[in-house]
Amino acid sequence: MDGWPGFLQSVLAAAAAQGAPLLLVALGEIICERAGVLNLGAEGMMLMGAVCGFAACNAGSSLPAGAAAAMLVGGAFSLVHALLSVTFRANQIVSGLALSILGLGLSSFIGERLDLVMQPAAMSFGPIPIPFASRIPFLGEALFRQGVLTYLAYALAAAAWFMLFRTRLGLRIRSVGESPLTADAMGVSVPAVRWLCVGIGGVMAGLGGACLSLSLSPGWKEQMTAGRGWVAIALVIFGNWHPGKAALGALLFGALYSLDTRLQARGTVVPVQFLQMVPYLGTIAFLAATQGKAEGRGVGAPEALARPYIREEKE
Amino acid sequence: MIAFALVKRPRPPRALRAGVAAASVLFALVLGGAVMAAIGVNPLGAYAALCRGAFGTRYGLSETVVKAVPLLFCGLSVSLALRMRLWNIGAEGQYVVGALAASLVALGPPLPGRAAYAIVMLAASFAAGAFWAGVPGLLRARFNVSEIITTLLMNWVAIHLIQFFVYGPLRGADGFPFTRPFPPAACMARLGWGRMHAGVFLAAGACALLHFLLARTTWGFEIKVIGDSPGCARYAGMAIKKNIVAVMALAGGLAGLAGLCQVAGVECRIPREVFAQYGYTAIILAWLARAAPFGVALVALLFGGLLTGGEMIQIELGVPLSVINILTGSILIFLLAGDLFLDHRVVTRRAARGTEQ
Amino acid sequence: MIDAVGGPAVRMLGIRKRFPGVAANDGVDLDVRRGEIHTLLGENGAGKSTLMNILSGLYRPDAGEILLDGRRAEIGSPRDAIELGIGMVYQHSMLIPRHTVAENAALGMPGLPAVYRARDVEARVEETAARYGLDLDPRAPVWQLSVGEQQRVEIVKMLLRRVDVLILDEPTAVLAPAEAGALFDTMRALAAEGRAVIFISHKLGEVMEVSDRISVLRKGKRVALLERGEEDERGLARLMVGGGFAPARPARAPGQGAPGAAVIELAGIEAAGARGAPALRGVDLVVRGGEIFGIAGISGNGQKELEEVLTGLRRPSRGSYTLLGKSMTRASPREIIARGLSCIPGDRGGVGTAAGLGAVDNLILKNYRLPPFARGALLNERAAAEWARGLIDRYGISVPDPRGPVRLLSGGNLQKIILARELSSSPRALLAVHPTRGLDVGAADGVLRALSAMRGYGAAVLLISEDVEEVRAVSDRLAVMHRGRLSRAMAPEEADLDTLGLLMTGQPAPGLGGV
Repeated sequence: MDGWPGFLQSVLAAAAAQGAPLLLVALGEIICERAGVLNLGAEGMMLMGAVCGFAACNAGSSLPAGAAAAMLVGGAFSLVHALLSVTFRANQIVSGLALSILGLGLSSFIGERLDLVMQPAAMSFGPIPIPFASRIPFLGEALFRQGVLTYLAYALAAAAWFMLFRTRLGLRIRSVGESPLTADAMGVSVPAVRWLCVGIGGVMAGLGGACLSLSLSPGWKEQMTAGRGWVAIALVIFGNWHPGKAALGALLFGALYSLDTRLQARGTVVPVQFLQMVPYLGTIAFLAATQGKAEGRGVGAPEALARPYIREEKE
Repeated sequence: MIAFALVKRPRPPRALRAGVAAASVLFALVLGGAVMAAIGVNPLGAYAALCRGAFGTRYGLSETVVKAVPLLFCGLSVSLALRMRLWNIGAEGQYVVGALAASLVALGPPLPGRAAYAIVMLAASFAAGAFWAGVPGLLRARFNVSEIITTLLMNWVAIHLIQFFVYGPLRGADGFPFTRPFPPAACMARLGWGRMHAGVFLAAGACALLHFLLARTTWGFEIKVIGDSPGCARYAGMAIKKNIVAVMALAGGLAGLAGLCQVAGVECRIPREVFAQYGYTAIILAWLARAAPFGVALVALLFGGLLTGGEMIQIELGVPLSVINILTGSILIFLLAGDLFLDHRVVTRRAARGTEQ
Repeated sequence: MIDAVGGPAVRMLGIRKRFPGVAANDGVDLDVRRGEIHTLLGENGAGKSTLMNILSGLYRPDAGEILLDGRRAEIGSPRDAIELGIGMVYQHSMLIPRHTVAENAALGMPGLPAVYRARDVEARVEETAARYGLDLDPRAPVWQLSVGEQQRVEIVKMLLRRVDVLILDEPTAVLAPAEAGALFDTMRALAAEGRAVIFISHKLGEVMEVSDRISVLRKGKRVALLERGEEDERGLARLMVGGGFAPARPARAPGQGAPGAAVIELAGIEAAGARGAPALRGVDLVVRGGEIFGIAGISGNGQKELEEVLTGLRRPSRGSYTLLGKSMTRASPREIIARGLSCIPGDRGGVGTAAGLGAVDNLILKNYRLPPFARGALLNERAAAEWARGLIDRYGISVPDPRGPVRLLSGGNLQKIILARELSSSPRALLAVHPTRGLDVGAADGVLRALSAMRGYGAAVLLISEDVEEVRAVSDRLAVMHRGRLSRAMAPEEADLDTLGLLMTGQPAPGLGGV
């Protein structure tokens, strides 16, 4: 296909693929923030996942094993944040930033020591057409010829939604993030839930990193996430801490990533950078319009976000 | 389950504070040393080279100072907001729009002479930063929207905005993603010592001025009271909302000046990597310095030294730059962990009961 | 789970709990039987809530023991309490506003499956609510509910957790009369099933209506245990407010003139409270120079809102406020301070002082913009420190470090800092809200003496307090505040115990007309 339909189709395909790593990280961050822990270390955890996943595969392990290694490393790495911010009650903002810096350093160090930058990818998740669905005109070509991790990202969005809103664990997580005092009084262990959620966030960020180095752009280079961890945190806000809206947001953010080069090539009227600002400005406007009003009570950040919970200090 | 409990300590003793800080840094140095030993570099030699590279030579010292300038401005910005318990996560974006505003002036219609450029660029970058932080301030004061979230989002708006200009209207003739160089009159005077530029004085002045503002003026007093107890401040007749906007705007302006110094003092155009994460590092600086301006200056110099020294040992000993990030990250983590023992006493469960409330 | 009616479910023996400066519970005994509605009656600060917070696991007692069904119980947390079958419905909702009624009930519900269907929980909530005549929509988010509905959710939540000792902390304070009636029906139904219901209140009418037994608490001690119908309202009021009144002090020292011109004038002031419900419902008040006007009453009847209107923190929706002849109805706090009103706020640590700052900063809190502390925009630290030292000496404030955070000081010293600051400006008008709350006798006496001294200087003093004896002792005129209205002003001699007790609990006082 040529002309606009072809263009749109390629943008949509690229959007889904570009959105996948963002979505994976954002889903983990949503679960973490729903439990009341802000983790600004997403970039660091993602970088660790990217380098470890790639290194594992190039050292001879299989693709799933590589992805698993990335998840494991991301999860383990995030536990530093859990220890500091949950158990040691450190400031979550500073602790997350520390994690980001450490991740930046460690991932570069590992990558350089293993000379990964020189290496072509031994293997990567190639596109797998979904039977029948990939033959749907227009959409099939765009959405159903993706790598496994891309499908997985959107499937996990559904899973995260189910977990948060349909299970006992999800109810506990959301309660801890809204009112740790109430959750504690109702017999929920606030530290246990928070440790778990920070860990899930790390596992997902690690997988998001692997999605970059093993699927989206196979290979490794220093700081290869290029700020995607931070975009994922913005995506959480854009998606109003909701997995479904985050998935739609990931398509939008992914489309904006892919428009970058594509629109420039076509020489459009509206500079692409202004399009890229829209989601951020839109989110700010949305927050301003809803916060502090009755209808705003149903939306926005979890009440206890970024607040350490200390049982001894009751009023 | 756990046999000990934590009891809040009202005021940690000074000696303990110093001790914990020293122990944290020591742990981190040992960890960094282990990493270097693992790649076959003598850690003690590397640390010595790092110090020499950062502070031991005339050139190294100048580089340290030059690198500290944007960190200092951004650190002051975050600190000022923190004094009122506001989190400015957006120093990065304010820095970027400050750099952009200065560049638009420099590359715009010619101005008569250095002084004119200096004044207009200063005003432009300050105003741009102030606007960028003032909007989140206004949203916080007016609609109670968390400034943590809005300042974070504003960073991305700033980055896309500057990319538009760098890839578009201000793009250099050679096609690379830099802007055209500034006219010489729009560049800050060099001090004839490495890359040291007049912005160093600007930064030192801002630091002293902010200290003076916070410690010696009635406005500083208001900021202190509002930060400590908004309820009490309201009762004492202080205008909280107005102060939130004012403090955020001034904080943004300071971060904007960091952008000015970087483009007009160091690069004389907008370089490709204008966003060097100064804004995020600044949060750490402010936290380490407990939001005290002179403390921020000290920590900024140490960070500048780490960067300079890091480059030095990379050249001399082949230690990768990433080791510096590992070192910084682990110092922070140990310091954060150490805080628990500063602010709390660890006591056994039974003893804890009597001292509660 | 529920035993026969009539056995003692809860025994509390010799419970003591001290907070800095006060003994909130000073050896209290209490026994509550299954199948009864047991009321804890007492003024604010009598120790009712502290006692129940101990039973529900929020506080740990300093001494004393708790027996449940005859067995010694260790209650370390609200969670322990619920597991032991004790549930408390707090005055401040413990619900999660953003979650639905069903989600709030599901949290901690025993036997909730790992993957649950919202419909099942909703059905259980609906069923339980219906059984006790509680009208609830399980799908509604809690933030949309009225306070009364939220209370019902709390009760259902407790019932679903199979609580058989239910504590209700002043549940009717926030309810409309019809809602309160429905709540009493629910309470009776719960008791009839063999549960023990502990009801905290200070409203005599409803206490008479609903209680099987009444324990009266005063100043941290239980002063009476009454069976239903043993005392009438008047007797309850006497027990609650306290017997021997100190004779009213002479209104003013000999030689002082009659009160001067009106200083504080309120006419028809109406204002909404924090939740938007009307809190002040037409307050008329005139305080003259050289007099102390006392407002007695149980807190929560609009005193906080009155304080906020007077200091400019809350804008009245109707009525006028005049200070020294100038309208302050729409004035800012700063303008009111400048006009000459000083205030000793009810919240000493959160409003009266900046807790993290030092004594020096707290002492210049209101005049930091005036010379000699300010020269233009500059702050004169030395002048501030010198002035603070003078005040610390004069008021005998014990401050180990004038720059150390004042939250480390005792309540008495904190109040001295506030007094020193507020009185040093020689105010024409002074508002003192619960100024002796939580202070020991010596410190309290010092505060009251300072108020009298201000009257001597010709200031108009408005004293808002829950302590009737104190109000009677120092006021030249006094009135009682109840449900956002003020009673007629009286001389202390007119205001005998019966009259005050009844006015404070919303009963028409004989010979004085309605409230």
